[in-house]
Parts: sequence; C-alpha cells; structure tokens
Amino acid sequence: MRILVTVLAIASGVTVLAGYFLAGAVPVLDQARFILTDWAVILAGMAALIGVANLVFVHIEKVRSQPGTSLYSAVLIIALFGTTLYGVIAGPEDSFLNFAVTAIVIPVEASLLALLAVTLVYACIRLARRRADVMSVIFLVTIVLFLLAVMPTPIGPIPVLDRLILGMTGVVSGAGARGLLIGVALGTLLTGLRVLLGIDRPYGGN
Amino acid sequence: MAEIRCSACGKNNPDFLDSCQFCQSPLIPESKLFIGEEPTKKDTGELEEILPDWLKDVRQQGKNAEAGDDSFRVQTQPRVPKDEPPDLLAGLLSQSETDEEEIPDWLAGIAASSEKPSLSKPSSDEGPPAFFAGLDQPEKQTVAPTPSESKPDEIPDWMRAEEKTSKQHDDLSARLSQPSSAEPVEETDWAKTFASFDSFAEEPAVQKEPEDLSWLRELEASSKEMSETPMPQARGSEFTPAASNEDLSWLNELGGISAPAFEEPAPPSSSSAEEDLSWLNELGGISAPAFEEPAPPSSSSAEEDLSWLNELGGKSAPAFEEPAPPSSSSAEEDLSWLTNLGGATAPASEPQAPSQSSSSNAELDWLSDLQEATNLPSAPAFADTGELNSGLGIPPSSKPFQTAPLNELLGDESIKDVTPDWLKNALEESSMPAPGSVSMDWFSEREKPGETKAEDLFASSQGEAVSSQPAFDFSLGDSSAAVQDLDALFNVEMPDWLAGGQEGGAPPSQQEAKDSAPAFAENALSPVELPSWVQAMRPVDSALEETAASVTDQITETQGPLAGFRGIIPAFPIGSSLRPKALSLKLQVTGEQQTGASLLEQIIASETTVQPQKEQAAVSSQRVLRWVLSGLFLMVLGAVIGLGSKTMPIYASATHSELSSLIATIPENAPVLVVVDYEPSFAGELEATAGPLLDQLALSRRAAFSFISMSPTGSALADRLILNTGVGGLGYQPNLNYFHLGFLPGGSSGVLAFIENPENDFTRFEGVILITDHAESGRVWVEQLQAAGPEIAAKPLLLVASAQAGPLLQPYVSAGQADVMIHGLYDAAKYEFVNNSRPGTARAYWDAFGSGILLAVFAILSGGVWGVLMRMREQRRAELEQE
Amino acid sequence: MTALGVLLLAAVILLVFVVLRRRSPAVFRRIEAYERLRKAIGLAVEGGTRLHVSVGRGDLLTGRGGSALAGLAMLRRLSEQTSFSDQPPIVTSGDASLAILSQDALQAGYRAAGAEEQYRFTTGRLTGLTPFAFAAGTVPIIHDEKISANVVIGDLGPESALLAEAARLENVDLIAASDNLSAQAVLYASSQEPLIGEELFSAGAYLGAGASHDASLQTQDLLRWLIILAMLGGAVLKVLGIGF
Repeated sequence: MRILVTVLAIASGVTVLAGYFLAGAVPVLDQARFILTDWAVILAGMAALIGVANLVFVHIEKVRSQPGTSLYSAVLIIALFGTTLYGVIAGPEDSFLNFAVTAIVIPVEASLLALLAVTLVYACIRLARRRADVMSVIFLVTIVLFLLAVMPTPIGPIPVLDRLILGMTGVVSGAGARGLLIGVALGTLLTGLRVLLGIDRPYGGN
Repeated sequence: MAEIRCSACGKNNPDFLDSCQFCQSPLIPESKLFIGEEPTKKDTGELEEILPDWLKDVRQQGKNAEAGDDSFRVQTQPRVPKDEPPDLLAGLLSQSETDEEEIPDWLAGIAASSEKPSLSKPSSDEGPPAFFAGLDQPEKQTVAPTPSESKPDEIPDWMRAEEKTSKQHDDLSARLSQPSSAEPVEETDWAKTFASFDSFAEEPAVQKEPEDLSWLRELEASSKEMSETPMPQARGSEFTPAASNEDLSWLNELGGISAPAFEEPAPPSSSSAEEDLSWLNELGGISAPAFEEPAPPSSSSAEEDLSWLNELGGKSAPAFEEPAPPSSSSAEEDLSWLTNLGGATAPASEPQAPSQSSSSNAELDWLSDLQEATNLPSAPAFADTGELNSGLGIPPSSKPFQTAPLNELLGDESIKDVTPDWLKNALEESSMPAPGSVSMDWFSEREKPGETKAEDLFASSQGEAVSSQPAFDFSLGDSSAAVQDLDALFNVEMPDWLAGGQEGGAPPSQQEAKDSAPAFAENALSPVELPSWVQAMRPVDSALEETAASVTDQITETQGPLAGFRGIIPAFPIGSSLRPKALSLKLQVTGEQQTGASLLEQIIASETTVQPQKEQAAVSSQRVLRWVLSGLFLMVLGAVIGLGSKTMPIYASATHSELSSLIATIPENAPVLVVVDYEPSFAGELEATAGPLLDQLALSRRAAFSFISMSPTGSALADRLILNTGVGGLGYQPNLNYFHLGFLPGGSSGVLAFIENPENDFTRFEGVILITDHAESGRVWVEQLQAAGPEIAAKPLLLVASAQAGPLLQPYVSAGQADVMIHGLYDAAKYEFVNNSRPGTARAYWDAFGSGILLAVFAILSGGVWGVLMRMREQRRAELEQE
Repeated sequence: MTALGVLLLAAVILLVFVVLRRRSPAVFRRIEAYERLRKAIGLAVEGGTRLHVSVGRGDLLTGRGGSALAGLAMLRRLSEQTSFSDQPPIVTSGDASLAILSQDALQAGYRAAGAEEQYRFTTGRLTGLTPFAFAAGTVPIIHDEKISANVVIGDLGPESALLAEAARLENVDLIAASDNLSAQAVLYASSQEPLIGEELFSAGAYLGAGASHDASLQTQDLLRWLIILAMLGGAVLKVLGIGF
C-alpha cells in the first residue's frame, strides 16, 4: 500500500511538472496537468470539510471533558453549525451571510491586527533589554528610521531623511529580502524534489 | 524350596528372593519400591546367596581378622561409641559351595602345604596349631564328624560350651566341611574359622559337620558361663550382646583359662598356653606344618607374609628380619607366628624348626603370648560385642570389627608389652611423611638410631614388601593385623612405595636413607623408593637447596601438631618491619574534591526540597506596559480619528502621475479583472489603498469589474470593497456593472487554469488589478500572466498591495512585469490626492496614521533606551556581586 | 527551459549527496535555536509536559507548501522522539490539508516508535482557516494545555507575534521559523532564538530526520553558491556590456 501511494504521488507530481515545461511538446501532459490539478483542488476542498469536522470534534471533546472552561468552545460549535446550516439553505450570496462576514469576521480580525501592532511595539521595547547585541540595535534603529521616513509630519515628509532612509533602507532591506527569498525558494525547490523523488514521503507515514 | 522363575532371564530363583540372583531384576512386582513407599524390612541372611564370591571371601576374611582382634582390646579407655553402620551381611551363612570356585593362590598354597604335614602328623601332635589342624581334618574325611563325635574328653570345657549355640557352629562347620569335598581349600579353613566367630549369633542354622561343630558348641556353652562385660557398641556388628557373650566365651579359655579368668589378668604361662592351645592340635588333627607350608606357587610369599606373625607378642622374629627363604621346608616357619602370638617358648619362636611337632608347639605359642600380654579387665570371649578375647586381657571395648586406632590400644601398658615393635612403630609414626614436610629430612630422620621403631616397622614391612604378600593374612590376636588384612584384601598388588625398597632404583634423595637403613638394627626401616606420585610432589632441587639454605634460619617446632617440622611458621617476630603498615581509615580527600562533594550534596538535597514557586503578580510591570501602550494608542488614534483631524499634509509624487496616465489608456466600459486576494484583517488598509484606483476606473472609464477571490472570504470582501470605495455610490450594480467570479482555489495552478480556460475568455479583460496582502499572490499572477502568452502578458497589471507586501513586489514593478503598484496607506494617500481626494478614506486615516507611527517611534525609542540602561545596570550589579 | 535545467541539476546533485550522506553523515554549523529545541524536547519528555508544534497555514497547492512540508518532516521526527512522553504533543495548523497531513505524520511517528496505540487524532487540530483565526485558535492551546515548549515551523505571517506573546506570558520556549519575511521580522523581535531565511528547511537535518535532509541542505548550499556566481557573473557581464 505504501508503495502504491508513493508511486501515485510521484507520478502525479512528475506529470504536473512535465505539463508545465513540456506542454507545448506533449499536449496530453497539459491536459493531464489540468485534470490532476482539478482533482487536487477538489481534494483540498474536501480536506477543508474534514478539517472543520476535526475542529468540531476537538471542541466537543473539550466541552465534554472541561465543561467549566469551555464556553468559547460551545459558542464556536453553535455558531459553526448555525452558519453552515444557514449557508446551505440560503446560499453563499445571501446578504445575511455577507453581513455575518462583514460585521463579525472582519472586525475581529482587524482587531487582532491592531493588537498585533501593540504587540510588535511592545516586543521592540523588550528586545533591547532581552537581547542587547549589535544585530538587535541595528534592527531597532532600522525600524525607527523607516517609521520616521514614512511618518506623516505636519511639515510634510522630511526631505533628506525621506529619500536617504527610504533609498538606503529600501535597497538594503530589499536586497536582504531578495536573498532570503532566494534561499526560501531553494529550500522549497529541494523539498519538492524530495517529494517528487520519493525520498521524503509526508503522506505515507514513513 | 519353592522357586520363582525370573521373567527377565528365565532362570529359577529361590522364592524368598525379591530380585533375580542372575540378572538382578525384580521377581515379584510387589517387591518394587516406588517413591514414597516404605521399604519392607528383609532378613539380610536371605541375601547371602546372591552375594558375589569375592564379596563372600572378603566377608569371611574380615570376620576372621576381627576375631583375632580380641587379644588387643583395651577396656580402660572410654571410647566414644561410634555409630557405625550395621553390618548388613552379618546374617550371612557360611560360604556356599559356589564359593569354592575362586580361591586365592596363596590360600590354596597354604592349604596344600597344610595337607602334607597333616598326612604324617597325627592329630595329637602339637606341631601345627591344633586349632587349625582340627580345621583341616574335615578335608580328609568325606563326612565331617559332628562335634559330638569328636573327642570330648580332650576338648576343654569352654569349648564344649560352644555347642549350645547351634546356628553359628553349624555355619562354621559347614564352612569347614566344604573344603573336603572341593578342591584343596585347606588354606581357607582356618580363615573361615575366624569369620565364623562373629556370626554365631545371627546366622541361621547351617548344616553341621558333626566333627567340626562340637568344639564350637563347647565354646558357646562356656561363653554363657562367662560374666558379661559391657562392651561398646559394635560397628555394625551383627552380634547381639547376649549371643556374642555366649559365642565368644570359648575364646576366653584359649590356653585353658576359664571365663572368670578374663576378668583378671591371666598370668602368662607358657605351659598353660600350650595346654590351652593343645586343643587346636586335636581339632581335625591337622599338623602345624600344614599352615606353615605356603602354596607352592607363592610359597615364598606366603612365608614372608606370615612371618611377621611370629613376632606377635614381642618376641624376635627371625622371619621378619630376614627374608624368608623360599623353601617348602620352611612351611613350618610360616606358622611359627602362631606360637609367638601366645608367647610360646623357643620352639614356637624358632621359625626354622622343620619338625612338625616343634613347629606346632611354636605355632601355638602365639596363643600363649596373647594370654600373657593382657592385663586388662577380662571380658568374656565374644561377650557383648562378639569380639574374640584371646585371654590376653584385650579390653572388651575394642571390637574385632572395629578398626580402632591401635595407639589407643597401645595406651594400655599391658598391650604395649606384647605389641610387637613393628606394630608400635607403625602406631607412633606414620610410614609416610606428613604433607607439610616435603623435605628429605624425614628420610634422614629415619636414619637416626633413636628412631628404631619406625625403622623397625619399615624393616619389617620391607621384608613383607619385597615378596608378593598374600592379601589375606590372618591373625587371631592382632587387631592391627586384622586391619591390615582388611586393607590388604583390597590391595592385592603391593604399592610401589612399599615394594620399592626391594626393587631398587630408589631416588638419590632416598638413597642415603636407604643406605643407612641397614646400619641400624634389624628392625630399622630401610629407605624405600618413593612412588611416582610422591616424587611429583617433591620440590625441585633448587627449591630444596634454597630451602636447605634457609633451613638453618628456620625454626623447628617443638610442640604441638607441628612438632619436629621446620619452616612451617615464618620466624618473624611479632611487630616486625615486614608486617604491613597500618592504613588510616579516613579517606584522603583534597579540597577540590571536598568542594565538589559538598556541591553534589547540595544538589541532591535540593531535589527533595520543595522549591517555592514564584507567584506571578496579577499586575506586573510587563502587563502595565502593555496596558499603557494599548491605552495610548487607543486614546491617541481614537482622538485623532474622532476629531477628524486633517492637519498633516499630503504631497504627490511622480509615480502617481504615471498611474493616472495608465488608467487613461484603458478603454471605456472595458472589463477589468479584479483579484481579491487578501485576508479580512487587511481589509481596512487595502480598501483604503484600492479605493482611489477603483474610483478612477469607475468614474473615468466605467470599467466593468470582475471580482475573483483567491480565498473563501473573497466574495464578501469584494462587496465590502465596492461599498467602502464609493464605487457603489457611482451607480454600480451587481451583475450589471460588477460581477463576482467566485473563489479560485489551487494557487498558481488555479490561476493558470483560469487564465487558460477558454470559457473564461481571459483575453477580454483589458487589465488585471491584483489586490493582495502578500507577495506570493503577486508573484503567482505575474508569473502566470507572463506564461499565458504575450497577448495576455501585454495587458496592464496593476498591483495594490499592503505595506508589508509592497517591498517584495517592487522588483516585479521595477522589472516591468507589473505596471504600477500602490502599496500601503502612504501611496494610497498620495494617489488619492491626485485623484481629487476621492474617495477620501486614505486621507481620513492619514493623520491617525502619522500619530500612530509617531507614538510607536516614541515608545520604541524610549523603551529601547530604558531597556539598555536597565541591562547595563543589571550587568554592573552582577559584576559587583561577583567581585 | 532554464527552470527545467535548474530543476534537473538540483535533482542530480541531490541524489549524489544522498548517496554520500548515507555513507558519512554531514557536519553542519551550530544553530542555537535547534539546540534549544533538542533541549526542550528532552525537558518535555522528562517533565511530563507537552510540546506544541505548529506547521503554519501554508497551502500545499501554492508555493508556501514547501515550508509546510518542511514542518511536516520536523513533526514526524518530533513525534517519534516524544512518543513515550506522558503528554503527547499537540499539532496545530491553519490549513485543512495540512491538518490531515499533520495527523498522519503524528501517527507515523508513533508507529515508528512502536507506540501507535498512544496516538489520538484530536492531537492534530485545525485551529482556523484564516491566519488570525489560526492564531486566535492556537493561543488558548498555549495557555491551557500545559505547554512547555512551542515549535512553530511553517508558513506564518505577522500573526506569529501573537503566538510569541502567548508563549512569553506562559514563560515557555518558542522556537519558530517561517518562510514569510514579515513573520521573520516579527519572530526576530519576539522569540528567544529566531530562525531566519532558509534555516526553516534545515529543521529535518538538525533533528536527524535522515540522510536525505542532510543532502537537501547541502544541495541548497551548492545551488546558492551557483546562483551567487551566476548573479555576479551576470552583473559583471552587464557592466562589461556583454548582453545575453
């Protein structure tokens, strides 16, 4: 069974990859790629349902085992079933569902993002005390300079500081970011190659 | 007799047997003994017939030898009764006819020699011992005369008493009668006599020989008259005290001494001894020379074996000192020991007396010697223990069957007097050196003239060792001889250490001892050739030399069990320097080790101690800081927004002018694909960022927006976007002016599939607007559009990104893969300014955005400086504590 | 075709290194975060506490799936090492497919350790479908499940700051790595030992996941050098006016 799963995974990956590069030469590979991609999308959608079911089971277990501290788990379960039921009945374009997303989901996440802002400021404040090294100082200094560069002022942007900071930090940070992204890309490439070659099998319980 | 047929071998066996006498298989199933069952007691007398011949011979010899121990029993010394195993074969009858099949040669020789004198010697002669002569008489007669048919007048009263015990006498008679019908076994008759002495009490009745048993009956009768003396328990003696008293009483009258006479020291009298022993001459009429003549094949050995007996009683025994010449005429000398045992006069002690009469008298002397030697409390012959009391005062405590240490016997002076020298020497000093004394000094000590006893023993034993000594050597009055006989029974071949002296080739270390041996008296021990195993134990010469060198430094022990040995205990005085030094009991630990040990001890102790947990305060400085920061941001930003401040100016840049020019190139009412690929959390920023662009497209170009989402919440975000960007206020109706294409899964593959799907007709879109909060989405669309073909790649791609994604998408813009990018509120405000401040969302956030950044910068700077100062202070404090 | 060539070249180099690493293991530089991780694993096992492992919210159908696969490989190794602990590790993720794969990796780890009967499917959880929902669902686990160490390796965004704050409030370790630059910046400021860049993909090699991970890491290094040389060479050529 493991061998079959491994062969199937390798074959699917190679087919999709070949369809990207050899679609012009071998049209059937292009069609196969589309088919396999569609199947993957369908499986991902079904996996979403399974994930939600897992979420429900976990919170049900928490409500059952810890009834005193599981109020939020109960609210989650009720809201989930209610929204799902209404969406199945009314459809995803229903205005109530849009209202639920707009009035609940977006404000909540926006609040979390706002909390993140405070958290990041607090983290920067503690960074100097927790890890007072050169890199930490440079990090903090860069943060401050960049914030000052983009900060609106009553007098407008700081002329020299604006171009200097944005130019320098932009180039340096941009270059560093590109290096990091190249490294990440290489890691992603090799990780995918390991899966394609069957060396790493995250699916088969190796 | 009923017989039982053996199921295994098919032979018939007597019915009283449980096991087949041929194959030893059980005859009766009931006779099998299983685990847990108690064995049924059987009469051991029934086992006689199944005994092998050799065992029967041994038994007979043993009995004869033990019977001869009576003369050396000492009664004075209390002895710890030994719990000796019972003699299971005590009830055995005399040897059956089958026993006659195997007869040792030496015994046959004796019988043969005894026959000759018996032919010419009447029974009245005193030559050969009448006792033994009488035993041979049945050999010449086909029918053994019954004891009653003998000459009762000539038989002493004490012998008549023996007639009263029928069983034992019958046994003896049966044995005595057997040689007459078989091949010459005369030499065994007298041996059987001794064996039968202790079997009088228990042995079942055996067919009597009238002639032979009469004297036994008399002996039995006389024994009953004897007073009983308490005897120590026999070693598995088959005798009951009462019966043995009766059986052995006749022995008390050996030499004519009555039973009570044993209680008193009997005066030694040669004449009386002769009279006492005269009955022996009349028994069967066997002349003395019959016993003195050894068997022809081993005549010389027989003479030599028996010659030591001449010295029993302490008289000189020329036969021991000199090798007995092998001559048939010296047969008389063989029996001379018998006379010497009784302390007889010269005729008995002369081993070379050829005449049968003289020899017979001499042979009887041993009996008189036995009588003289004892001064012990008398005990009835064969009293409680069935021991043979020869009338010499042998203590009844010594049993014929007990090989008691002869030294104990020698503790009695009376016995010592009659004990031959060689016997004394044997008891005083072992014939072999002690294990510890491996030096040759033992042999040299042997050369000392003072130690004559041991040498005598050696000399005498040498005399015996030279020739092939017969295994059986019977003596009535010598317990040690009996012991030796018993031992000799199992040592047919003389050991080399005992026979080495005659053979020659002795090791050089022993040669000196050997050479000096003849220098001493005749009884001195001659050096012997050490056996091989002893030689292997000897130390090497070098060691010997070393030991010899240090011998002088060694101390010779003078007392105790190591007396006479040298160099056993080292001669180091107490407290010498060679003793090991006393070590301190305290462990020597260095300071560093002590510190480590104490540290380890503290660690271990801390493991069991409860560490008080630091309770976190409900209000900590960290929590206060976070609350303060949160409060500041809420207040400042809330106030700025609430007040609607717009004091911070916005300045346009050249980039935003290019964007307006680009939008102007899009045809009117052209479909534009709007990709909504951001999270709900970034909706506020991206709605403010994308608002000016969508407003300009909607206002100036009346573009038809097709919204497609890369996340499940995209459709809701698209509606919110239309609403918050003011596009809805421009009369844009869903599904008329803007369309929702749904959720596009699959990432890049889904994008590529959407682009290449003919149903979608992606070419109809005049532009693509990507609104995203991460660079990955932008990269995907850029790549897929480039890969879709030049026509699609030529379409304008407008990127609206959040502030965090903007720098990462800038390379695509710089490379021309993307036309314009608006990232963050900073660019949105400037573009909105260019767009106549429409919709104005960015402008509303601008002052709060600036205030927030200013507050963040202030908090970071002040907190950073404070953190650095606190850290420095902590480091200084730590340094001070270390100092 | 350039991409295909690079792909083929990377595959060949990877195979070669796999063969070499199986014969002799590689020696890598010391990364403090993974040293801390090993220590945290041991302490969790000995102390009978839990490990919280998060593989992020990366979509396997996108480029962010690479970091998710790296997180799954690390999860497989961690689950095997902590299978005999009193408290099994809890795995959280922000993607449904990733949640299923994380459960499978957990089970595989227990199976490899011979303790498959101790696996519970509720230990692999989907905490949210959006990044902040994922963070919001993960923070209570850090507070309530007696977590002794947090290991977050995968695709995360700025919401990882919330996870770091929760770990700081509980005074537990946080070892986090992400392929997202924003997350890296956030984690650098908030975590004890940050992992920057492609150190995310070295988790398997440093945890002893096998020779293939060692070979992959060495292939990355080799390709990076090749890219550096190509970039420098191209820049030089561009400066020299040699266009291509």
